[in-house]
Amino acid sequence: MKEMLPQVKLLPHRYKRYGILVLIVGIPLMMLLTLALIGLGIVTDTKTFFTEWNNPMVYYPIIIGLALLNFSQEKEEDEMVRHLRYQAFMNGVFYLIIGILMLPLFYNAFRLLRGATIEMPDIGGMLGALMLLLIYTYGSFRYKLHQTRKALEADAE
Amino acid sequence: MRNNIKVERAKKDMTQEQLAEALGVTRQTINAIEKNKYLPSTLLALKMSNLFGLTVNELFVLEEGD
Repeated sequence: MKEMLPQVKLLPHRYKRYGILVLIVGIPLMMLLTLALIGLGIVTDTKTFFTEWNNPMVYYPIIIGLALLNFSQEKEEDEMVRHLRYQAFMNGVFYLIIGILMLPLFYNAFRLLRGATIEMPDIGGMLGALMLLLIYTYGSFRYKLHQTRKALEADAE
Repeated sequence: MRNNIKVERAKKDMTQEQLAEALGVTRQTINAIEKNKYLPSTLLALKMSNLFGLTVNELFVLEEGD
């Protein structure tokens, strides 16, 4: 069946170790990189850099490390492991949707407890990423379903 | 659904580890299948029944409500 994007294959098991390594050394490395960029004068507007860039930069090693852990094979990989991984991904996406959608509620509950007024937290990026994930997942699923049905109709006896 | 894997394995005097190795899966998977915690794929069920010299229906039995 023709795929819209190349099929994702799991990385060999050793990439789990790389993932852990990235998680451990990634954040200090990013800090050093930040200091080097400032020290070399590449970043001059440090105020903007720290508010606009530094926070997202910290997430990069975390996301890359976790992605390596998630997308690498287990030491002993078989169909049950794949099934459990699929279930974990399904649950992960589901609870992510719930969590992100509920975020303004929790955020404002804390604000109200502190006596502050209600406001919408800055979660536009998260909502956008979530929307893209869901659009791609649903689109890809419908496409695969359509292709499969078409192939089966052609082969129907 | 119930299965007779544990019985058939005992008849062949095989450990979970040996069966797992013969089928190319982990011992945990065999354990999970025996305890009905995981339903194997058709391919694995066929491989298993072939190994025991049985049909899939003899190895895996549908129960009421399945």
